[in-house]
Amino acid sequence: MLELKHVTKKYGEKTVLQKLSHAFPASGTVLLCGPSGAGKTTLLRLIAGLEAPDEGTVQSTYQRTAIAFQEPRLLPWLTCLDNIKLVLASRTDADEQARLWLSHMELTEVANALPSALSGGMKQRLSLARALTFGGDLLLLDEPFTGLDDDLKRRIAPRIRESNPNGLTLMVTHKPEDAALLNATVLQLSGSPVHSLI
Amino acid sequence: MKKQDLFRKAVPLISLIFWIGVWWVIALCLRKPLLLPTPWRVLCKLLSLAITADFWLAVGTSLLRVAGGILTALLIGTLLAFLTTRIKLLHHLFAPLLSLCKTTPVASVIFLLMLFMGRKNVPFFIAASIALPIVWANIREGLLCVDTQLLEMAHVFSLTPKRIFWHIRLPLLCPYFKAACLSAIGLAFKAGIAAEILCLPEGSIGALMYESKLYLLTEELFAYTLSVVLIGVAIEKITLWLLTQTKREKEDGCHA
Repeated sequence: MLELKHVTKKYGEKTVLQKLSHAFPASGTVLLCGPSGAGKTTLLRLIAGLEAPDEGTVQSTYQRTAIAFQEPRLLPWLTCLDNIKLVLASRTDADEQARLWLSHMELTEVANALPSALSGGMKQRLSLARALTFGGDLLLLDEPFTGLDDDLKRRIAPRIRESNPNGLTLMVTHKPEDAALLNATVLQLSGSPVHSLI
Repeated sequence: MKKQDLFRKAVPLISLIFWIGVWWVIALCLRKPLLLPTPWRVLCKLLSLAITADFWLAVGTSLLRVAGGILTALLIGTLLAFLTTRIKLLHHLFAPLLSLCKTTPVASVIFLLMLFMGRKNVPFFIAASIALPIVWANIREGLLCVDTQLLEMAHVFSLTPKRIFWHIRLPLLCPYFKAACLSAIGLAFKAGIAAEILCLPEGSIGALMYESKLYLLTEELFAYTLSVVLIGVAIEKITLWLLTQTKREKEDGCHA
């Protein structure tokens, strides 16, 4: 269960979210759409617990949260493989799992390369692979399709869909048409003075 | 190798040859070897000194003293940087002391230390006092310039403090440590030799340089100076190589 109750978030004088309330479905994929600056990333950060709302509450019963940030946030001194293995702690199948997800993201060939050798889209996929390998019942993806062409998006989307069958996947995007690829529900973040998800 | 690369690599050598040429021309024009010997005569003198045991004993003794001071500064400076970053009160307590180390003229510190301790130990303490503020300031800056986005990522993926230290904090700190080593070693070595010249500990390069100056053995004085320069350059190159190797080993370890 993930429920927002009258959530307000301000940065200085600027109000990014105003009294937003919404109850998300327990499982499935939800696309959060809206214009730039609408507060999509802020909402994701509030849900992840990276920031606290100024007013209202974010209630979540999910046990494990994984995030693919808007910026890939990779460690430049570790190879692609090690960037993924890093978040798998001391799991015995860390290497196997990391290689599997690299192959799902079509990054096998660059497994031993440093992130500096990757293109923007490849970095984004590596960040996505890291989040999906880490796993969790709440998966938060902030524009994971940035820099990917339509063919690649089509090939990767099923992996995202299948990665969290019993939990909730929330994905921030500018493109509502991505919903078809992910069998997702689209929620539009909008509103003034009070924000809503429709 | 491309022509441009070849040229880039040759530039420092050409520049060195140019300045040796300038020195040579001035020495020839001056015709006063007691004031300015030619590079050739200095080189011959250096070679003749280099085959004596006393020379290498002096080099070894001076290096040991100064290296000891620098290593001590690296240890204490790193520890201080960690402590003063964590505990603000300690920062306020140590900051004036370290500013004092930075601003006090080296010669004053040398004379003051001579009053309190044996002259043999002064170069060690001078090297340490020169290197300490540099190491402390650089490492503290590295500790303060943390990448908050990476730390946030580490928090999200529940990385243990040990993993955060080894995989995020330490690699971020490496360039600052490298910069600290390179700046501190060169300056501390020069200051250590200056301290030797003023304190005259037996069997040190500084003492030998002082004797050369006293008896107007200019060629010898130049030869010792050249040896100090060469040792300084060698130390810098070795440090750089060691730091690069350590970094590589760490990367290989991560890849394994």
